[in-house]
Amino acid sequence: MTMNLSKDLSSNQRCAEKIVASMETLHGMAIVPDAGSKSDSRLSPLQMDTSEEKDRLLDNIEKLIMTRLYKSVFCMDDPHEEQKDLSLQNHIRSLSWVTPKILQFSLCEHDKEVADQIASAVSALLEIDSKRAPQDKLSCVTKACDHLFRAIKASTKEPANTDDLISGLVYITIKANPPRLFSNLKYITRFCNPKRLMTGKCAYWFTNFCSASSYIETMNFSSLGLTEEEFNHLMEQKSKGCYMTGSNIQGTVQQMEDNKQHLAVLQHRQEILFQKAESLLREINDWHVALQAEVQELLHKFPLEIKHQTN
Amino acid sequence: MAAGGGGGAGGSKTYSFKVVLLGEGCVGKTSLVLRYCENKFNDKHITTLQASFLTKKLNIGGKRVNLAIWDTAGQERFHALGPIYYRDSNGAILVYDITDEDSFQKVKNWVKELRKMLGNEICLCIVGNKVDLEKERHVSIEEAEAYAESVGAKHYHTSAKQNKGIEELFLDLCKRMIETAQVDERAKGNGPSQAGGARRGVQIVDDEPQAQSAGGCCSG
Repeated sequence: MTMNLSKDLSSNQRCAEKIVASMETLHGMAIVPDAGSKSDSRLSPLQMDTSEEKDRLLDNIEKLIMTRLYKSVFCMDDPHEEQKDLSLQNHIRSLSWVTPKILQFSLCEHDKEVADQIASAVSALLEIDSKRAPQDKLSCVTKACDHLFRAIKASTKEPANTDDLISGLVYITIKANPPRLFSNLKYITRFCNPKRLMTGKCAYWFTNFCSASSYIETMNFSSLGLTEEEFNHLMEQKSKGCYMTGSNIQGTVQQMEDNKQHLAVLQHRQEILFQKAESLLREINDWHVALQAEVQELLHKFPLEIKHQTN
Repeated sequence: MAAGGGGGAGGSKTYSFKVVLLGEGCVGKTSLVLRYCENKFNDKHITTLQASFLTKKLNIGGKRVNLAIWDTAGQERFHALGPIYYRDSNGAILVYDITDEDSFQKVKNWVKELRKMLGNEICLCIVGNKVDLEKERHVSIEEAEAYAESVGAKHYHTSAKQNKGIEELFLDLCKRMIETAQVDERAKGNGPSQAGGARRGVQIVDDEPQAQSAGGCCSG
Protein backbone atom coordinates (compact mmCIF):
# COMPACT_ATOMS: atom_id res chain seq x y z
CA MET A 1 0.00 0.00 0.00
CA THR A 2 2.82 2.35 0.91
CA MET A 3 4.65 1.59 -2.31
CA ASN A 4 1.61 2.36 -4.37
CA LEU A 5 1.04 5.62 -2.56
CA SER A 6 4.67 6.65 -2.91
CA LYS A 7 4.59 6.00 -6.63
CA ASP A 8 1.48 8.01 -6.94
CA LEU A 9 3.08 11.02 -5.40
CA SER A 10 3.97 12.69 -8.67
CA SER A 11 1.26 15.32 -8.71
CA ASN A 12 0.87 16.86 -5.33
CA GLN A 13 -2.61 18.11 -4.83
CA ARG A 14 -4.47 15.21 -6.39
CA CYS A 15 -2.34 12.79 -4.47
CA ALA A 16 -2.98 14.48 -1.19
CA GLU A 17 -6.64 13.89 -1.76
CA LYS A 18 -5.98 10.27 -2.60
CA ILE A 19 -3.98 9.86 0.58
CA VAL A 20 -6.76 11.27 2.68
CA ALA A 21 -9.09 8.74 1.09
CA SER A 22 -6.61 5.92 1.61
CA MET A 23 -6.11 6.80 5.24
CA GLU A 24 -9.84 6.81 5.64
CA THR A 25 -10.01 3.31 4.18
CA LEU A 26 -7.24 2.20 6.48
CA HIS A 27 -8.95 3.64 9.51
CA GLY A 28 -12.24 2.27 8.33
CA MET A 29 -10.70 -1.17 8.53
CA ALA A 30 -9.79 -0.47 12.10
CA ILE A 31 -13.38 0.17 13.01
CA VAL A 32 -15.11 -2.41 10.85
CA PRO A 33 -12.45 -5.05 10.34
CA ASP A 34 -14.77 -7.48 8.61
CA ALA A 35 -16.33 -5.08 6.17
CA GLY A 36 -16.63 -6.83 2.84
CA SER A 37 -14.23 -4.65 0.90
CA LYS A 38 -11.88 -6.18 -1.65
CA SER A 39 -8.67 -5.26 0.15
CA ASP A 40 -9.67 -7.67 2.88
CA SER A 41 -7.93 -10.61 1.29
CA ARG A 42 -4.58 -8.85 1.37
CA LEU A 43 -4.97 -7.83 4.97
CA SER A 44 -6.47 -11.07 6.12
CA PRO A 45 -3.97 -11.57 8.97
CA LEU A 46 -5.67 -8.59 10.61
CA GLN A 47 -8.70 -10.70 11.24
CA MET A 48 -6.73 -13.30 13.10
CA ASP A 49 -5.19 -10.96 15.65
CA THR A 50 -6.68 -9.71 18.84
CA SER A 51 -7.97 -6.17 18.68
CA GLU A 52 -5.00 -4.92 20.65
CA GLU A 53 -2.52 -6.34 18.19
CA LYS A 54 -4.62 -5.01 15.37
CA ASP A 55 -4.48 -1.53 16.86
CA ARG A 56 -0.75 -1.73 17.23
CA LEU A 57 -0.34 -2.91 13.68
CA LEU A 58 -2.52 -0.09 12.40
CA ASP A 59 -0.52 2.38 14.47
CA ASN A 60 2.68 1.20 12.89
CA ILE A 61 1.24 1.32 9.39
CA GLU A 62 -0.08 4.80 10.05
CA LYS A 63 3.27 5.90 11.40
CA LEU A 64 5.17 4.51 8.43
CA ILE A 65 2.90 6.01 5.83
CA MET A 66 2.53 9.39 7.47
CA THR A 67 6.23 9.76 8.20
CA ARG A 68 7.00 9.20 4.53
CA LEU A 69 4.27 11.40 3.21
CA TYR A 70 4.63 14.16 5.77
CA LYS A 71 6.17 16.78 3.50
CA SER A 72 3.56 16.27 0.82
CA VAL A 73 0.48 16.30 2.97
CA PHE A 74 1.23 18.65 5.84
CA CYS A 75 -0.63 21.89 5.15
CA MET A 76 -1.80 20.39 1.83
CA ASP A 77 -0.16 23.31 0.04
CA ASP A 78 -2.95 25.51 1.22
CA PRO A 79 -1.88 29.16 1.49
CA HIS A 80 -4.96 29.84 3.59
CA GLU A 81 -3.72 27.53 6.34
CA GLU A 82 -0.30 29.11 6.34
CA GLN A 83 -1.91 32.52 6.72
CA LYS A 84 -4.04 31.27 9.56
CA ASP A 85 -0.95 29.85 11.32
CA LEU A 86 0.81 33.17 11.13
CA SER A 87 -2.10 35.22 12.33
CA LEU A 88 -2.70 32.83 15.23
CA GLN A 89 0.95 33.03 16.16
CA ASN A 90 0.83 36.84 16.13
CA HIS A 91 -2.35 36.81 18.15
CA ILE A 92 -0.80 34.54 20.77
CA ARG A 93 2.31 36.73 20.89
CA SER A 94 0.18 39.77 21.61
CA LEU A 95 -1.37 37.91 24.53
CA SER A 96 1.88 37.17 26.33
CA TRP A 97 0.80 39.34 29.29
CA VAL A 98 -1.81 36.79 30.30
CA THR A 99 -1.08 35.30 33.71
CA PRO A 100 -2.64 32.37 35.58
CA LYS A 101 -4.36 34.92 37.80
CA ILE A 102 -6.11 36.54 34.85
CA LEU A 103 -7.20 33.06 33.74
CA GLN A 104 -8.60 32.48 37.22
CA PHE A 105 -6.61 29.50 38.28
CA SER A 106 -3.90 29.21 40.86
CA LEU A 107 -0.36 28.24 40.03
CA CYS A 108 2.53 28.80 42.44
CA GLU A 109 5.07 29.58 39.77
CA HIS A 110 7.80 30.57 42.19
CA ASP A 111 7.77 27.02 43.50
CA LYS A 112 10.69 25.20 41.91
CA GLU A 113 8.78 21.99 41.13
CA VAL A 114 5.82 23.83 39.59
CA ALA A 115 8.11 25.97 37.45
CA ASP A 116 9.94 22.87 36.22
CA GLN A 117 6.72 21.07 35.33
CA ILE A 118 5.41 24.12 33.46
CA ALA A 119 8.67 24.38 31.56
CA SER A 120 8.42 20.69 30.59
CA ALA A 121 4.82 21.15 29.50
CA VAL A 122 5.80 24.12 27.34
CA SER A 123 8.61 22.20 25.68
CA ALA A 124 6.27 19.27 25.03
CA LEU A 125 3.95 21.63 23.15
CA LEU A 126 6.87 23.01 21.17
CA GLU A 127 7.80 19.46 20.20
CA ILE A 128 4.50 18.90 18.39
CA ASP A 129 5.72 20.59 15.22
CA SER A 130 8.90 18.51 15.07
CA LYS A 131 7.11 15.15 15.12
CA ARG A 132 5.79 13.65 11.91
CA ALA A 133 3.39 10.85 12.69
CA PRO A 134 -0.01 12.03 13.95
CA GLN A 135 0.16 9.68 16.91
CA ASP A 136 3.54 11.15 17.93
CA LYS A 137 2.12 14.64 17.76
CA LEU A 138 -0.79 13.41 19.84
CA SER A 139 1.48 11.96 22.48
CA CYS A 140 3.19 15.35 22.82
CA VAL A 141 -0.17 16.81 23.81
CA THR A 142 -0.63 13.99 26.32
CA LYS A 143 2.83 14.65 27.74
CA ALA A 144 2.11 18.35 28.09
CA CYS A 145 -1.15 17.63 29.94
CA ASP A 146 0.60 15.26 32.25
CA HIS A 147 3.18 17.86 33.26
CA LEU A 148 0.45 20.44 33.61
CA PHE A 149 -1.44 18.19 36.02
CA ARG A 150 1.64 17.73 38.14
CA ALA A 151 2.09 21.49 38.28
CA ILE A 152 -1.53 22.07 39.28
CA LYS A 153 -1.46 19.29 41.84
CA ALA A 154 1.73 20.71 43.37
CA SER A 155 0.09 24.17 43.58
CA THR A 156 -3.36 23.31 44.88
CA LYS A 157 -2.79 19.90 46.50
CA GLU A 158 -6.00 18.75 44.82
CA PRO A 159 -6.66 16.78 41.66
CA ALA A 160 -7.07 19.18 38.75
CA ASN A 161 -10.58 19.69 37.42
CA THR A 162 -11.50 20.51 33.86
CA ASP A 163 -11.66 24.27 34.39
CA ASP A 164 -8.09 24.18 35.70
CA LEU A 165 -7.06 21.97 32.84
CA ILE A 166 -8.39 24.27 30.12
CA SER A 167 -7.09 27.42 31.81
CA GLY A 168 -3.75 25.69 32.27
CA LEU A 169 -3.64 24.64 28.65
CA VAL A 170 -4.49 28.17 27.55
CA TYR A 171 -1.68 29.46 29.72
CA ILE A 172 1.00 27.04 28.52
CA THR A 173 -0.10 27.43 24.91
CA ILE A 174 0.31 31.19 25.17
CA LYS A 175 3.64 30.70 26.88
CA ALA A 176 4.87 28.22 24.29
CA ASN A 177 3.29 29.81 21.20
CA PRO A 178 3.82 26.57 19.29
CA PRO A 179 4.74 27.02 15.62
CA ARG A 180 2.10 26.17 13.00
CA LEU A 181 -0.45 25.39 15.68
CA PHE A 182 -3.48 25.54 13.41
CA SER A 183 -1.93 23.30 10.74
CA ASN A 184 -0.76 20.80 13.31
CA LEU A 185 -4.22 20.51 14.84
CA LYS A 186 -5.73 20.15 11.39
CA TYR A 187 -3.17 17.51 10.46
CA ILE A 188 -3.84 15.43 13.56
CA THR A 189 -7.58 15.61 13.00
CA ARG A 190 -7.20 14.63 9.37
CA PHE A 191 -4.76 11.76 9.57
CA CYS A 192 -4.89 10.29 13.04
CA ASN A 193 -6.81 7.09 13.55
CA PRO A 194 -10.33 8.34 14.38
CA LYS A 195 -10.59 5.69 17.03
CA ARG A 196 -7.78 7.44 18.86
CA LEU A 197 -9.39 10.81 18.42
CA MET A 198 -12.78 9.64 19.66
CA THR A 199 -12.08 7.33 22.57
CA GLY A 200 -9.59 7.07 25.35
CA LYS A 201 -7.36 9.37 27.30
CA CYS A 202 -5.45 10.82 24.37
CA ALA A 203 -8.71 11.79 22.72
CA TYR A 204 -9.78 13.61 25.84
CA TRP A 205 -6.55 15.57 26.18
CA PHE A 206 -6.60 16.40 22.49
CA THR A 207 -10.18 17.64 22.76
CA ASN A 208 -9.14 19.87 25.64
CA PHE A 209 -6.16 21.14 23.71
CA CYS A 210 -8.40 21.98 20.75
CA SER A 211 -10.80 23.75 23.11
CA ALA A 212 -7.97 25.74 24.63
CA SER A 213 -6.75 26.74 21.17
CA SER A 214 -10.18 27.84 20.03
CA TYR A 215 -10.61 29.72 23.29
CA ILE A 216 -7.37 31.57 22.63
CA GLU A 217 -8.42 32.32 19.07
CA THR A 218 -11.56 34.06 20.24
CA MET A 219 -10.12 35.49 23.43
CA ASN A 220 -11.29 38.99 24.26
CA PHE A 221 -11.97 41.16 27.30
CA SER A 222 -15.27 39.49 28.23
CA SER A 223 -13.87 35.96 28.11
CA LEU A 224 -11.18 37.03 30.58
CA GLY A 225 -13.57 38.90 32.84
CA LEU A 226 -11.85 42.22 32.22
CA THR A 227 -13.33 45.51 31.10
CA GLU A 228 -12.66 46.56 27.57
CA GLU A 229 -10.41 49.39 28.79
CA GLU A 230 -8.29 47.10 30.93
CA PHE A 231 -7.91 44.66 28.09
CA ASN A 232 -6.93 47.34 25.58
CA HIS A 233 -4.55 48.84 28.09
CA LEU A 234 -2.78 45.52 28.58
CA MET A 235 -2.66 44.93 24.83
CA GLU A 236 -1.26 48.41 24.23
CA GLN A 237 1.36 48.05 26.90
CA LYS A 238 2.42 44.95 25.11
CA SER A 239 2.62 46.59 21.71
CA LYS A 240 4.54 49.61 22.99
CA GLY A 241 7.29 47.32 24.08
CA CYS A 242 7.37 48.41 27.73
CA TYR A 243 6.52 44.94 28.85
CA MET A 244 8.18 41.96 30.28
CA THR A 245 7.76 38.69 28.52
CA GLY A 246 6.69 35.67 30.49
CA SER A 247 10.16 34.21 30.72
CA ASN A 248 11.56 37.60 31.71
CA ILE A 249 9.12 37.92 34.58
CA GLN A 250 9.87 34.42 35.62
CA GLY A 251 13.59 35.11 35.61
CA THR A 252 13.14 38.21 37.74
CA VAL A 253 10.87 36.43 40.16
CA GLN A 254 13.40 33.64 40.39
CA GLN A 255 16.16 36.09 41.17
CA MET A 256 14.08 37.82 43.81
CA GLU A 257 13.35 34.46 45.39
CA ASP A 258 17.06 33.64 45.41
CA ASN A 259 17.91 36.99 46.96
CA LYS A 260 15.26 36.48 49.58
CA GLN A 261 16.78 33.16 50.47
CA HIS A 262 20.27 34.64 50.72
CA LEU A 263 18.98 37.41 52.96
CA ALA A 264 17.24 34.89 55.18
CA VAL A 265 20.47 32.94 55.55
CA LEU A 266 22.35 36.15 56.38
CA GLN A 267 19.78 37.13 58.94
CA HIS A 268 20.01 33.76 60.54
CA ARG A 269 23.78 33.96 60.78
CA GLN A 270 23.57 37.43 62.25
CA GLU A 271 21.17 36.22 64.90
CA ILE A 272 23.56 33.45 65.85
CA LEU A 273 26.38 35.99 66.05
CA PHE A 274 24.33 38.18 68.39
CA GLN A 275 23.51 35.22 70.55
CA LYS A 276 27.13 34.24 70.79
CA ALA A 277 28.18 37.79 71.65
CA GLU A 278 25.61 37.89 74.37
CA SER A 279 26.69 34.62 75.83
CA LEU A 280 30.29 35.82 75.71
CA LEU A 281 29.31 38.91 77.64
CA ARG A 282 27.51 36.77 80.16
CA GLU A 283 30.50 34.53 80.50
CA ILE A 284 32.77 37.52 81.15
CA ASN A 285 30.38 38.80 83.79
CA ASP A 286 30.15 35.38 85.36
CA TRP A 287 33.88 35.04 85.32
CA HIS A 288 34.21 38.43 86.96
CA VAL A 289 31.74 37.52 89.70
CA ALA A 290 33.31 34.11 90.20
CA LEU A 291 36.74 35.65 90.48
CA GLN A 292 35.54 38.12 93.04
CA ALA A 293 33.89 35.35 94.99
CA GLU A 294 37.06 33.29 94.89
CA VAL A 295 39.13 36.19 96.09
CA GLN A 296 36.67 36.83 98.88
CA GLU A 297 36.75 33.18 99.82
CA LEU A 298 40.49 33.12 99.89
CA LEU A 299 40.48 36.27 101.89
CA HIS A 300 38.06 34.64 104.22
CA LYS A 301 40.12 31.47 104.54
CA PHE A 302 43.31 33.21 104.98
CA PRO A 303 42.40 36.42 106.62
CA LEU A 304 45.05 38.90 106.60
CA GLU A 305 46.16 39.13 110.11
CA ILE A 306 48.41 41.80 111.14
CA LYS A 307 50.27 40.54 114.03
CA HIS A 308 51.93 42.95 116.23
CA GLN A 309 55.06 41.47 117.40
CA THR A 310 55.83 42.63 120.75
CA ASN A 311 59.21 42.35 121.75
CA MET B 1 -30.19 -7.83 33.97
CA ALA B 2 -32.51 -5.68 31.99
CA ALA B 3 -30.31 -5.89 28.96
CA GLY B 4 -29.65 -9.58 29.16
CA GLY B 5 -31.20 -10.50 25.84
CA GLY B 6 -27.92 -10.78 23.95
CA GLY B 7 -27.65 -14.55 24.18
CA GLY B 8 -24.42 -16.51 23.90
CA ALA B 9 -22.54 -14.03 21.75
CA GLY B 10 -23.18 -11.27 24.29
CA GLY B 11 -20.75 -12.82 26.76
CA SER B 12 -17.64 -11.96 24.78
CA LYS B 13 -18.75 -8.54 23.68
CA THR B 14 -17.25 -5.48 25.32
CA TYR B 15 -19.12 -2.25 25.15
CA SER B 16 -17.23 1.02 25.24
CA PHE B 17 -19.28 3.98 26.27
CA LYS B 18 -18.47 7.62 26.44
CA VAL B 19 -20.30 9.56 29.09
CA VAL B 20 -20.08 13.30 29.25
CA LEU B 21 -20.46 15.13 32.54
CA LEU B 22 -22.10 18.54 32.50
CA GLY B 23 -22.86 20.96 35.28
CA GLU B 24 -22.12 24.41 36.62
CA GLY B 25 -18.98 25.22 38.60
CA CYS B 26 -19.73 24.28 42.20
CA VAL B 27 -22.35 21.55 41.85
CA GLY B 28 -19.91 18.80 42.81
CA LYS B 29 -19.21 17.11 39.48
CA THR B 30 -15.62 16.38 40.42
CA SER B 31 -16.60 14.96 43.80
CA LEU B 32 -19.21 12.78 42.15
CA VAL B 33 -16.81 11.07 39.73
CA LEU B 34 -14.03 10.83 42.27
CA ARG B 35 -16.45 9.16 44.65
CA TYR B 36 -17.54 6.76 41.94
CA CYS B 37 -14.13 5.87 40.54
CA GLU B 38 -11.95 6.16 43.64
CA ASN B 39 -14.52 6.05 46.44
CA LYS B 40 -13.00 9.15 47.97
CA PHE B 41 -14.39 12.47 49.08
CA ASN B 42 -12.31 15.50 50.03
CA ASP B 43 -9.56 13.13 50.91
CA LYS B 44 -6.02 14.29 51.52
CA HIS B 45 -4.78 10.99 50.14
CA ILE B 46 -6.26 11.24 46.68
CA THR B 47 -3.43 10.12 44.46
CA THR B 48 -5.21 10.94 41.23
CA LEU B 49 -3.53 13.76 39.38
CA GLN B 50 -6.72 14.88 37.73
CA ALA B 51 -10.44 14.36 37.95
CA SER B 52 -11.45 15.32 34.44
CA PHE B 53 -11.03 12.03 32.59
CA LEU B 54 -11.75 8.84 34.48
CA THR B 55 -12.48 5.33 33.38
CA LYS B 56 -14.25 2.43 35.02
CA LYS B 57 -14.69 -1.18 34.02
CA LEU B 58 -17.99 -2.83 34.81
CA ASN B 59 -19.57 -6.18 34.34
CA ILE B 60 -23.32 -6.03 33.98
CA GLY B 61 -25.13 -9.33 33.58
CA GLY B 62 -22.10 -10.89 31.89
CA LYS B 63 -21.53 -7.92 29.61
CA ARG B 64 -18.28 -6.08 29.95
CA VAL B 65 -18.54 -2.32 29.83
CA ASN B 66 -15.68 0.15 29.57
CA LEU B 67 -16.90 3.48 30.76
CA ALA B 68 -15.01 6.64 29.88
CA ILE B 69 -16.21 9.67 31.80
CA TRP B 70 -15.46 13.01 30.13
CA ASP B 71 -15.79 15.96 32.41
CA THR B 72 -16.50 19.35 30.89
CA ALA B 73 -15.62 22.82 32.07
CA GLY B 74 -18.18 24.30 34.41
CA GLN B 75 -17.31 27.96 34.16
CA GLU B 76 -19.54 30.13 32.03
CA ARG B 77 -16.67 31.53 29.98
CA PHE B 78 -15.98 28.05 28.59
CA HIS B 79 -19.60 27.39 27.67
CA ALA B 80 -19.06 27.73 23.92
CA LEU B 81 -16.56 24.87 23.96
CA GLY B 82 -19.28 22.34 24.85
CA PRO B 83 -20.03 20.71 21.49
CA ILE B 84 -16.52 19.32 20.95
CA TYR B 85 -16.83 17.45 24.22
CA TYR B 86 -20.18 15.82 23.81
CA ARG B 87 -20.07 14.72 20.20
CA ASP B 88 -20.23 10.92 19.89
CA SER B 89 -21.15 10.42 23.52
CA ASN B 90 -23.51 7.64 24.49
CA GLY B 91 -24.70 9.19 27.70
CA ALA B 92 -24.77 12.49 29.49
CA ILE B 93 -24.94 13.18 33.20
CA LEU B 94 -26.28 16.63 33.94
CA VAL B 95 -25.58 17.64 37.50
CA TYR B 96 -27.23 20.40 39.52
CA ASP B 97 -27.01 21.41 43.14
CA ILE B 98 -30.36 21.01 44.94
CA THR B 99 -29.63 24.14 46.97
CA ASP B 100 -29.00 26.24 43.88
CA GLU B 101 -31.88 27.12 41.56
CA ASP B 102 -29.54 28.62 38.96
CA SER B 103 -27.65 25.39 38.49
CA PHE B 104 -30.94 23.68 37.63
CA GLN B 105 -31.67 26.32 35.01
CA LYS B 106 -28.27 25.60 33.49
CA VAL B 107 -29.18 21.91 33.26
CA LYS B 108 -32.28 22.85 31.27
CA ASN B 109 -30.14 24.78 28.81
CA TRP B 110 -27.79 21.84 28.34
CA VAL B 111 -30.65 19.43 27.77
CA LYS B 112 -31.91 21.64 24.96
CA GLU B 113 -28.46 21.86 23.46
CA LEU B 114 -27.78 18.13 23.70
CA ARG B 115 -31.09 17.17 22.15
CA LYS B 116 -30.49 19.64 19.35
CA MET B 117 -26.99 18.34 18.59
CA LEU B 118 -27.33 14.63 19.33
CA GLY B 119 -31.03 13.86 18.99
CA ASN B 120 -32.61 11.07 20.97
CA GLU B 121 -29.70 8.66 20.68
CA ILE B 122 -28.13 9.92 23.87
CA CYS B 123 -29.21 8.67 27.33
CA LEU B 124 -29.75 11.62 29.61
CA CYS B 125 -29.48 11.57 33.39
CA ILE B 126 -30.43 14.59 35.44
CA VAL B 127 -28.80 14.45 38.84
CA GLY B 128 -29.65 16.50 41.91
CA ASN B 129 -26.49 16.42 43.98
CA LYS B 130 -25.91 17.38 47.64
CA VAL B 131 -29.04 15.72 49.09
CA ASP B 132 -27.22 15.78 52.42
CA LEU B 133 -28.20 19.46 52.45
CA GLU B 134 -31.90 18.64 52.19
CA LYS B 135 -32.80 21.46 54.60
CA GLU B 136 -31.47 24.08 52.22
CA ARG B 137 -33.20 22.61 49.17
CA HIS B 138 -34.23 25.20 46.59
CA VAL B 139 -35.23 22.96 43.72
CA SER B 140 -38.37 20.97 44.42
CA ILE B 141 -38.31 17.23 43.81
CA GLU B 142 -41.62 17.28 41.91
CA GLU B 143 -40.49 20.02 39.58
CA ALA B 144 -37.18 18.32 38.82
CA GLU B 145 -38.70 14.91 38.24
CA ALA B 146 -41.53 16.28 36.10
CA TYR B 147 -39.02 18.18 34.01
CA ALA B 148 -36.81 15.11 33.56
CA GLU B 149 -39.76 13.06 32.40
CA SER B 150 -40.87 15.75 29.97
CA VAL B 151 -37.52 15.64 28.18
CA GLY B 152 -37.11 11.88 28.23
CA ALA B 153 -34.42 11.88 30.89
CA LYS B 154 -34.17 10.01 34.17
CA HIS B 155 -33.83 11.82 37.43
CA TYR B 156 -31.56 10.79 40.31
CA HIS B 157 -30.68 12.08 43.73
CA THR B 158 -27.12 11.77 44.93
CA SER B 159 -24.79 12.84 47.68
CA ALA B 160 -21.11 12.59 46.93
CA LYS B 161 -20.40 13.42 50.56
CA GLN B 162 -22.43 10.55 51.98
CA ASN B 163 -21.91 8.29 48.95
CA LYS B 164 -25.63 8.01 48.22
CA GLY B 165 -27.19 7.07 44.91
CA ILE B 166 -23.99 7.22 42.87
CA GLU B 167 -23.51 3.51 42.14
CA GLU B 168 -27.17 3.26 41.20
CA LEU B 169 -26.90 6.23 38.86
CA PHE B 170 -24.00 4.81 36.86
CA LEU B 171 -25.32 1.26 36.85
CA ASP B 172 -28.69 2.38 35.58
CA LEU B 173 -27.13 4.58 32.94
CA CYS B 174 -24.95 1.71 31.72
CA LYS B 175 -27.95 -0.58 31.40
CA ARG B 176 -29.79 2.01 29.37
CA MET B 177 -26.78 2.59 27.13
CA ILE B 178 -26.45 -1.16 26.51
CA GLU B 179 -30.10 -1.28 25.50
CA THR B 180 -29.67 1.64 23.13
CA ALA B 181 -26.56 0.03 21.67
CA GLN B 182 -28.40 -3.24 21.12
CA VAL B 183 -31.29 -1.51 19.39
CA ASP B 184 -28.73 0.26 17.25
CA GLU B 185 -26.94 -2.97 16.40
CA ARG B 186 -30.15 -4.62 15.37
CA ALA B 187 -31.04 -1.63 13.27
CA LYS B 188 -27.72 -1.86 11.49
CA GLY B 189 -28.36 -5.53 10.80
CA ASN B 190 -25.34 -6.79 12.66
CA GLY B 191 -27.33 -8.92 15.00
CA PRO B 192 -30.33 -11.11 14.36
CA SER B 193 -32.61 -8.78 12.49
CA GLN B 194 -35.74 -7.83 14.28
CA ALA B 195 -38.69 -5.83 13.21
CA GLY B 196 -39.29 -2.48 14.83
CA GLY B 197 -35.68 -1.58 15.44
CA ALA B 198 -35.01 2.10 14.93
CA ARG B 199 -33.20 2.56 11.67
CA ARG B 200 -31.15 5.61 11.03
CA GLY B 201 -28.92 6.74 8.23
CA VAL B 202 -28.49 5.02 4.91
CA GLN B 203 -27.73 1.37 4.74
CA ILE B 204 -25.27 0.43 2.03
CA VAL B 205 -25.64 -3.09 0.71
CA ASP B 206 -22.77 -4.63 -1.19
CA ASP B 207 -23.44 -6.33 -4.51
CA GLU B 208 -21.52 -9.39 -3.47
CA PRO B 209 -23.21 -12.05 -1.35
CA GLN B 210 -23.08 -11.13 2.29
CA ALA B 211 -23.83 -14.46 3.94
CA GLN B 212 -20.37 -14.81 5.38
CA SER B 213 -20.01 -11.36 6.87
CA ALA B 214 -23.44 -11.44 8.44
CA GLY B 215 -22.36 -14.36 10.59
CA GLY B 216 -18.91 -13.10 11.46
CA CYS B 217 -19.62 -9.57 12.56
CA CYS B 218 -20.93 -10.06 16.07
CA SER B 219 -17.86 -11.69 17.47
CA GLY B 220 -15.48 -9.09 16.06
